[in-house]
Amino acid sequence: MENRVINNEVFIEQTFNASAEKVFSAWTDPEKLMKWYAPDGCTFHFKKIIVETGGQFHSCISNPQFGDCWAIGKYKEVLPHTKIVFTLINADENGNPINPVEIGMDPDWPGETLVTVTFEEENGRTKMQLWRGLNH
Amino acid sequence: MVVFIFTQPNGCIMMQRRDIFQAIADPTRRMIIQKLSRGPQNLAGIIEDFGISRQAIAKHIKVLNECGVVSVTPKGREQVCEVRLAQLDEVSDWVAESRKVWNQRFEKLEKFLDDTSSK
Repeated sequence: MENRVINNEVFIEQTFNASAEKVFSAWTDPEKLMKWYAPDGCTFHFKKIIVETGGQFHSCISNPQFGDCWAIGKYKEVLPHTKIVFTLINADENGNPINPVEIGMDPDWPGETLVTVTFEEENGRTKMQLWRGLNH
Repeated sequence: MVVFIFTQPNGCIMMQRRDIFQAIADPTRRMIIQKLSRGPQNLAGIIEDFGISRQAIAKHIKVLNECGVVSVTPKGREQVCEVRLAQLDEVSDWVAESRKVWNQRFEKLEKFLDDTSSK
């Protein structure tokens, strides 16, 4: 696994012992997403999720200690088994964007980021790369 | 130019910040940064402390200033130097935090994929 911080971006690369189709499906099938996306001890659910180019989501990570953390976003690009690009925006329960400061986050935490995930299969294994940066 | 800073057993943070790299590449500049991290100081004082030529120190301060790490404010006949690392730290805070979250997430994804493939 390789982690990079380039200026103001997160970059993570990891190779999984699974086909690109399977890894892609883990990102695009809401039932599967719910099984791995939440941080430890938290649960994850959706009010809305349409995983296709132009589709949107409204999700919530519930932390038993800190409560609910809502997010909205739009899938800007969904290319089967290859690439997913979506925005990730701090929001409230009604799906309105909120200032991260209001929910007690650091003032420098960006309210809106762009996440790009790519999948590349080789010999039955899949290299996945994730970028998360400011949505310019 | 690239800085490799290995901080975790499972990987590394690689900072590609040309300016910062230049700032910290030189041991004298690192010492200046360290010194200024305790508080602003005027240029004359720094020169005195290091015991190297005024010209050499001024050159280092100039580089640090260009890198955005040190600000230089004229005050009367003095040049007050101040380190400005806080903002840079703040920027990488969210990146570091976010990276941590995604790393954990991918551990879970890996486990999920392993679990479902064996069935």
